[in-house]
Amino acid sequence: MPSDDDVDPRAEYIAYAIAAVLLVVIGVFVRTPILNWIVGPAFVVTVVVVLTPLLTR
Amino acid sequence: MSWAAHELESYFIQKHTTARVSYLAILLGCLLPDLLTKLPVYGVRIGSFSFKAEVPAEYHRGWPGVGPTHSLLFGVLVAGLVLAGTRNGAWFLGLLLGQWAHALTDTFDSVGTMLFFPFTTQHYTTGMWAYAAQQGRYGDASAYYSSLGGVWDFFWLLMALTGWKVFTREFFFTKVVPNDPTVWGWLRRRFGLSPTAMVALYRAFFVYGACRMFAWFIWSRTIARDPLDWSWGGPFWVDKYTHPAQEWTDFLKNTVVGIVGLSVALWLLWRFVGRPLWNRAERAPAPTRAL
Repeated sequence: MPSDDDVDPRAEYIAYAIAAVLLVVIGVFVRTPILNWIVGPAFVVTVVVVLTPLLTR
Repeated sequence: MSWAAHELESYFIQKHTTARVSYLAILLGCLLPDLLTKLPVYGVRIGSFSFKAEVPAEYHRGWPGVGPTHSLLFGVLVAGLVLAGTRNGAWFLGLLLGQWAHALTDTFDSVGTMLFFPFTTQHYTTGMWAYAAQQGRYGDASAYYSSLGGVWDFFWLLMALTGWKVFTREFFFTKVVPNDPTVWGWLRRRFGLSPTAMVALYRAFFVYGACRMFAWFIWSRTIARDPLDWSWGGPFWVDKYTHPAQEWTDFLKNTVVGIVGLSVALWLLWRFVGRPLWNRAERAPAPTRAL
């Protein structure tokens, strides 16, 4: 297993929770432009990758 | 058709497959039948060019049409081509399992799938919820999440969660990556992915699948305001597409022809094509550029 990139697991969980809430809320109003199989997963990855280091600090 | 179930079942398959299998291949297999075929179902417009199937259900699940993408033999042929091209047994198994899961999952709507095509065009369906793609994307979404289709998605969410260890970092780095080191290694090098980004990429379709369930369900309750109907074959308010009832004797005859035809085809494919390819894949050198 590769060494961790100094991530606080709690920060990572919070980032996933924020990504999920945002995806549901935005998805209800925007629908297909975000709830499709390319943008949806890309949105999750982007939010987690951007927010996790910020929340870890 | 199923919606989030196709993403969520990929984690269930990964969790419960003991053989060496690629998660990315499972996911691709789960998405494959609808990957390029769904656009004309709802209608696609690119500049001045537009295309929409005249009868979406017949185009999507029938023949003539792209219905064969939902047959068992299609998964075998696609996975076999990938095995021939890459000698990667983990990708062969992943694509096969994923595509078969999709074809079987879609038997639960009112149109069903031609599992034994080309030996029979018999559709197999339980009629659990209405096939409503002819209502357009949003009409279909509302019908699905107002019926037992939404319950079916929720069932797969629970099934994925019962194997929660599949979402841990440890599982990802000790099973998912070693099962497919070439592709994960390439993704890491090509895009400079951190471990957090790699795990996020792996978990993304679970989060997306779960979120789209809740988003569409909330939308259909609060904005579309369509009534919930959890009766078999619902919702009652949509003009669902279905095939006329047929005699049991015809059904049994078609099924026997389908099973025998598929069995013989699979045996011949394995005997003369699959086994040599599989043996060659098994003897192929292990990837040297792992993570």
